[in-house]
Amino acid sequence: MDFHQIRYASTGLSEGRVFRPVEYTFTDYNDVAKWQTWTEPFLRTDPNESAQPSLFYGAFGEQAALVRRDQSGGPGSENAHALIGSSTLLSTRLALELSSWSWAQLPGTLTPLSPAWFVGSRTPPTAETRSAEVMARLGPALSHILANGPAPLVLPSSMFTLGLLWAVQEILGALTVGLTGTGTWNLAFETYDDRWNSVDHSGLFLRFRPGAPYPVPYPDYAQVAQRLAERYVEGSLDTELRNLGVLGERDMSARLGRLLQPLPAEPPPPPPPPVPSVADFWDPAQLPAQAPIQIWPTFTGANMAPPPKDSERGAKGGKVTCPMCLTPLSWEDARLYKFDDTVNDYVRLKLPPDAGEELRDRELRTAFVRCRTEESEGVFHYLPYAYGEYGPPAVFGFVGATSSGKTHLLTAMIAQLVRRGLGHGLTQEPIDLVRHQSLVDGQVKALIDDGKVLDTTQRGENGFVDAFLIQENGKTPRPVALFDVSGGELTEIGKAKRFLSVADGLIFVVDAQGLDRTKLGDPTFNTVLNFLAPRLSKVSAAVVLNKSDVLRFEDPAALWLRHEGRELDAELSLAESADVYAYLYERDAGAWIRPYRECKRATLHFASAVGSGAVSDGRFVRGVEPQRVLAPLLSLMAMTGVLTTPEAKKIGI
Amino acid sequence: MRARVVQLQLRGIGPAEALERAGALLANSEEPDLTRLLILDEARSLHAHQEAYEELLRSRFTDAIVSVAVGHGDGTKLELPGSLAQGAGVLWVLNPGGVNWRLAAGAPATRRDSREDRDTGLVRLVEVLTIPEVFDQAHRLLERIPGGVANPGHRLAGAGGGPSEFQLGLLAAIEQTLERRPGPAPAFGGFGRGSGASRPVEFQPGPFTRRVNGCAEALAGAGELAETLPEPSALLGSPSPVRELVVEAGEYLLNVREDLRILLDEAHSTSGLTAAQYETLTRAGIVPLDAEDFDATRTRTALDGYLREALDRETPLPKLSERLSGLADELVPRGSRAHTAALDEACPDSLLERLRSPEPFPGPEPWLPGVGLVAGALAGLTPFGPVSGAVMGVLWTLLVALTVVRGPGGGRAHLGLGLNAAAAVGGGVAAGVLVTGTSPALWPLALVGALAVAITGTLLSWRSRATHWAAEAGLAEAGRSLEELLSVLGRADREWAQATARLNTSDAVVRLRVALDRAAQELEARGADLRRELSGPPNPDPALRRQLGDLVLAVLEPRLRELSSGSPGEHGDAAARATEDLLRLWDDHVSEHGPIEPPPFAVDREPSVAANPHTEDLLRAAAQNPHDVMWQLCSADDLALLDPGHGQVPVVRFAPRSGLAAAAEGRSAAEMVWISSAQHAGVLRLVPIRPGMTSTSWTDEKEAWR
Amino acid sequence: MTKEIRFLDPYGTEVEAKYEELPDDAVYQGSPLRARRLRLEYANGRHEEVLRLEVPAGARDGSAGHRALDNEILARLRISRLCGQGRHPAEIAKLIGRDTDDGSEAFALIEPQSAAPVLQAAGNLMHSEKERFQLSLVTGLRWLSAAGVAHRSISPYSVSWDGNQVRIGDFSCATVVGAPRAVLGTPPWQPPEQRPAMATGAVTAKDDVWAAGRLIYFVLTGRELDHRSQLADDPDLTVRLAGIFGEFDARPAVRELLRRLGGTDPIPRSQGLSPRFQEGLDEFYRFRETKHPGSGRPDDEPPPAAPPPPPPPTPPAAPPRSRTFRLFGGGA
Repeated sequence: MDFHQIRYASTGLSEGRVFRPVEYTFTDYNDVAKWQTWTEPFLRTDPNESAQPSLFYGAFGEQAALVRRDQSGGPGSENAHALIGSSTLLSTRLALELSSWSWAQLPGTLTPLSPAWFVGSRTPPTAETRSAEVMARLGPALSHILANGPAPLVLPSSMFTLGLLWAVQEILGALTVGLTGTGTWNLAFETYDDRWNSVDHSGLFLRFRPGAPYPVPYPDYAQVAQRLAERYVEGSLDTELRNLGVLGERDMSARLGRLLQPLPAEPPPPPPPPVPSVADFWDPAQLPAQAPIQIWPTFTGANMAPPPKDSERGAKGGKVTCPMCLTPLSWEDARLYKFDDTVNDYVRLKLPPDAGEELRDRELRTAFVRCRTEESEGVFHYLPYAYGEYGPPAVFGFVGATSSGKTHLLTAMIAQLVRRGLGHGLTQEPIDLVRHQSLVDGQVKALIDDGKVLDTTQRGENGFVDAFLIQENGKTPRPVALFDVSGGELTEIGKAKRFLSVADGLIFVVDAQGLDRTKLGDPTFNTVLNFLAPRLSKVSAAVVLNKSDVLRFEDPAALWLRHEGRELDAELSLAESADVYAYLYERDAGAWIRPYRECKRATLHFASAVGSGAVSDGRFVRGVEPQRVLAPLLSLMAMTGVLTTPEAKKIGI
Repeated sequence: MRARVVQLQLRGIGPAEALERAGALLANSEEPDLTRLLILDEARSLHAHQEAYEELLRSRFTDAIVSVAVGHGDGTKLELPGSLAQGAGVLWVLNPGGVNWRLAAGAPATRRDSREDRDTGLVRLVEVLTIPEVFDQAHRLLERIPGGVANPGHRLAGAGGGPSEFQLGLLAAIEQTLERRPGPAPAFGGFGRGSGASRPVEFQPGPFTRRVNGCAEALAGAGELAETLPEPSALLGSPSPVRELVVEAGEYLLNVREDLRILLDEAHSTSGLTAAQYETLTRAGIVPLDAEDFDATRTRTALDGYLREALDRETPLPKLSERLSGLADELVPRGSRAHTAALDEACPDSLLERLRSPEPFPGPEPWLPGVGLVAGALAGLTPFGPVSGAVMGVLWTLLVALTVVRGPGGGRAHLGLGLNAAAAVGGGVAAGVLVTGTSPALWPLALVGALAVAITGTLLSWRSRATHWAAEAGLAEAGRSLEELLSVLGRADREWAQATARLNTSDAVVRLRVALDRAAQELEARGADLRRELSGPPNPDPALRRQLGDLVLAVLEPRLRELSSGSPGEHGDAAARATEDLLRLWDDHVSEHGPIEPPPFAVDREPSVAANPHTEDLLRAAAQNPHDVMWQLCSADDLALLDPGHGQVPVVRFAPRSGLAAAAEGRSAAEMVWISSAQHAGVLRLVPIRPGMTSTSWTDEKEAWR
Repeated sequence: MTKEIRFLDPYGTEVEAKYEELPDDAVYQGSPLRARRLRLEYANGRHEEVLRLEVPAGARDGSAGHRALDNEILARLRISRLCGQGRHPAEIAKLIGRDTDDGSEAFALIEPQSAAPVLQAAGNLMHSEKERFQLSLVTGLRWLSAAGVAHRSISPYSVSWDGNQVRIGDFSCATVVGAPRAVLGTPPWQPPEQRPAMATGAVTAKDDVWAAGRLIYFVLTGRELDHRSQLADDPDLTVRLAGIFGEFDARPAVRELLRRLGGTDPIPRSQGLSPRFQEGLDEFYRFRETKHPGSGRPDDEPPPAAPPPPPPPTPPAAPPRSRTFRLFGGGA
């Protein structure tokens, strides 16, 4: 199993400089081409910058690449050298060990390298890795990694970059030890990035950029991260993890969950441990002008939701209707409960009056509010505290026949939310952590990772599926609750459908395969629309032509399925709506368009929850790749005022 | 067929088999030349094999025989079959491992490096003995040695030679052949003249032809009139239309030029005239030359000659290929549009301007009034005095007016006229007033004189002015210009005719070039392989370089034959295959006949004498003192058997023939044997065996003993 | 041994046939897909040799493979639809069929492709071939642009040449006109609008022209076009490739390229929207108007994936003359 190499030089084409392979050890040019497309974003240099060499490491499926780009000769001298091997051999660790590049061959003499080649040129982590300077950067960085999971994270570049990478790598190593399928947690990195436009690598990706703002510790994870960092420096990390029982958990999310749980006998955290302030070590050159110097414990939410100050709370709190019994509830004086695994029931939650903000937030994160009216003798509705924390949430319902692939669509949406987020400076965090996690570990994982065909949506009898706190960059977050109604039940409106009375938006799911079955449209559509008749003017609708993958060779679906659909663009949205409408019209499926006709604001969408309907023994054999599933959700958020940008205001009109 | 030393291996076999092998060798028709026979045998079995020896010696095929006897005989002595003792020289290799020994009585021996194979010494000896020249010399020396037995010692320079020697040479040759060094490839001689090279353009009735003719006629007419213009008749006779003719010619010329411009543009094509274009031309009145046929033979011979010359000059293939693609491009017709620029040079606008609006006829010269004055004055001398003078003046003015009016384009010259009139009249009146009483005998003369002066003056002035005007009209240039225009058409015409042929030729050249390139690729690949396999540095050998050139020729020869058809790709593939085959053939050839024997495809079949960069070292090796320490093929104990003798020990010195030149100056090359192998040199010393250490026996005696 | 195969032909009808795999694995240049040669035998006894494209087993990213396959199918489907019953362009291998979207593995059946990639021929074309090559390539592109398809990886690896006919292969990167642009291909064959940071906006029918122009230069001269100035060496090419390597807006459309080569537009009829679909659109906007009066209809509503109307061919510029001459207009 050898390592391949590609050497790139930059040529000035008539349209500017581009990197092109000049020497490679692959025998098949297609491989070179393939790697070119993968590594291109990380080969690029800023034409005028990049005085110092930069290392990129990242895995691409089975394979991984370590790229060193250099422009030390000034503009025009751009060149790069890629080492390519199977990601098991060329691990993050090996990549870091090879960072000195002392192993490289001279130009013109590249040969495939056997692992033995590197013997002697592998440099293990130095003491610097555990130095106080690294330490100061480690905590905050780690807090974000733990909080956001496998996602890109930009850090300011400094002379301690490599040390920091080593530390993160080793801590993650300890965290993921014994786990399989933690591929996305494999650390990818780029040590120096000064392009004006950069592309992120998938999974956990640390990128170091000169003058990037130093990240403030992520609230909920700050302490955990700090603790891990300290233990790591002491060298007692593994014992710590074992003691916390983290290593007992069988998958990463559970392990993180465990990390978050309050320590059994731990008193509310003492005033922050004396951490060397970053300012002490920061070389001013790297220090961004307005970078916050004191980084602990206050934080200025860069792009993640800060827990609201008490002042805000009262302000935004207020009457929230219980979606199950429609009882109006007040959040200010709400009684707080928490679910106690030991008694397997909700118990009163008492916050110690002197509870610090940290603790208070952590507790509230998992707290519930109990609805005043009893469902039946001793049976109460419990709503997550965050549900009403910011005033009445937007309630979205999914409507569609059982066969419509509604469940898959809903699952795919949540999966995309988790995987990609909403983009557009929008952030979302689950409101009911436990429920959300179980949903993800359950059907989301089953669909996305295992490609299993799902039977029905995992949901409470009231139809509640999941809820998120959506925040539009910096503005006050707004909760969004997703309800699902299994097709069967909907035909007769039962108590379980009360949420409809408070629903702000509905997603009508049409089965692209079922268009020819009946000319009368989906009975569930009609029932809901009739039921909502009085307040239809207030309800927005997104009609989703699901399973559009069967139309992927037809116009206009062929075109729309190729749009990624994460952009909120009124013009495109209108064009798509028109095309879907016209398509349904052409197929003589007018009955399905009724929601568009009757709801005040409405959009129509092509979407495919799985990307391919080819199923054999309970699995989607061609892999699961949701297409355009977030577009309907985004449009609905826009139409229901969750999103408030000018563009959003034009959607659905 | 060059000289060879044939080996016969008799070691480790019984008498019967030995006899059999001997017989087989003699019977073997594959071995035409057995004159040099090198026999390898065990010392102890010489005697047993004697029948075999006698068989060989008796045969008329063999001439010189050298037997290498390895090891000790039974007992200390070496027992020689009598036949062998007489008919052949024996080299007694007491110990194939050998020792290092300085040739001197009682000189000590030192061990050889124990790591080397214990047969190495023998192997090197045989290797050297298979060089015919060395063999002959060794044989000659052995004959002179009493008993004809000697123990060989040698000191050799140069590597093992054989295949690797060849490969190093080949690698060098390939590298040189593919070298990308700057510098021009030999210029291409061209394909010889195409037929109809310089035929004039053929015309038929048509608008264009009409204009050409019209132009020519107008020019001719104008020319004639311009000729006669200066004569008095032109002045007195009817007025000449010359000016109109010039203008007409100008108009025609302009039309001819612009018609050509349009024709050349409409008939523009880089790939021969289309039917439509041909039509256009003929309609205009131009009969294009018949399209030339593509002459495959001429193309082939030209290209063949060029290739040979280039390869002969050892032009690197990349250069050659470059030149060929250049040639292919040059052959592609530029199309007639390219000629339009020439039209304006042939017929500049300035000329047209001159023709179409000719200069006005020049007015009276400044000196003319002078003449008028004289004429008037003379007339004034008559008894009528001023009156006659005035009359004369008027007459003069009329004459001058005539020249002005009669000039082409009827020029106006008021001032000139006025002056003349004034001068003549004034002169006449003045003379009449001032001069009185002229003798009655004189005044008639004066009157006649006056008239004569007036007339001649007028005529002179007219002639000079007419000539000047005709010259200025630019008729001569117009004539030349018309010819020029037609010759431009002629060039385009020739190109139209040749287009297809040229394209075919260009295609042929491309085919050849691609074939050449693919052949070069194959060579490159082979070079890469060699570089991987071989350790030593490439070893340039002009002979191999030449032979590689021959190989390329051999590869391209069939390509040239099929030059006029097939896609470049096909030709390329064929060439690649051929190259591969020939290279393999060459390898086989070398492993069979050695590197010196030229391969079948070589043009020059004479064995090559390599010029070797290491000649100097080799010469030095060959010139060593025979008494120095050498690799003596015996063991320390056997030294006693050897007879260092006094003075001269028989030695064979040998070095590559290429050293001759180097050796010529200085070093005495007296007993040097010049060999054709590029790689061997050294000294082979034959140390006689002490008398009595060998014994001879005859068959019959043996019989008797039995 | 023969096996059964079921597939959908370009018109969506299901076909059953027997097939046997032919020994050697055909190389399908430049594509991530695997190609096998099959010999089909139809019920009516007709035989046909086809190339079967499929996602290689154990591909790194299965869904990427399937995307590539979909692109292959979509592009060829659109060509088939465009030429309807008429003759299928020889420049693009015809789609014979595709899998039936059931659980079985995905595949596409296309005409076999024998010719070698044009890479070898580059710089080795005879003058007589050069014209044919250019014309054939551009004609192929014209079909694509007319079908609203952008190939997006035109290169010496994806285009083959049999000495007489261009074959455009490897549609694994192809997409429909109007789809968002993406970073694709490798320099030097990567058009500007497919380079990182420049891959913005929607794919147009002109996106392939850059690479095609580059390819033409490469194949004709055997040299890569490293800078526009090289064009000056060849007046004919300068004219033909004018505008291709400059600003995108100045880039000539495929039709224009075809015109410069003196080719005729092969497209039988332009592909429009079905009348019924058009009705649907109109009705949608009528509804919209009633729901939100004054919302109006965006006039720049692009017909989805239909090729943009090519610019009218500009007449060849006449050489500027001081006097204009009617050929053989009345003599003097």
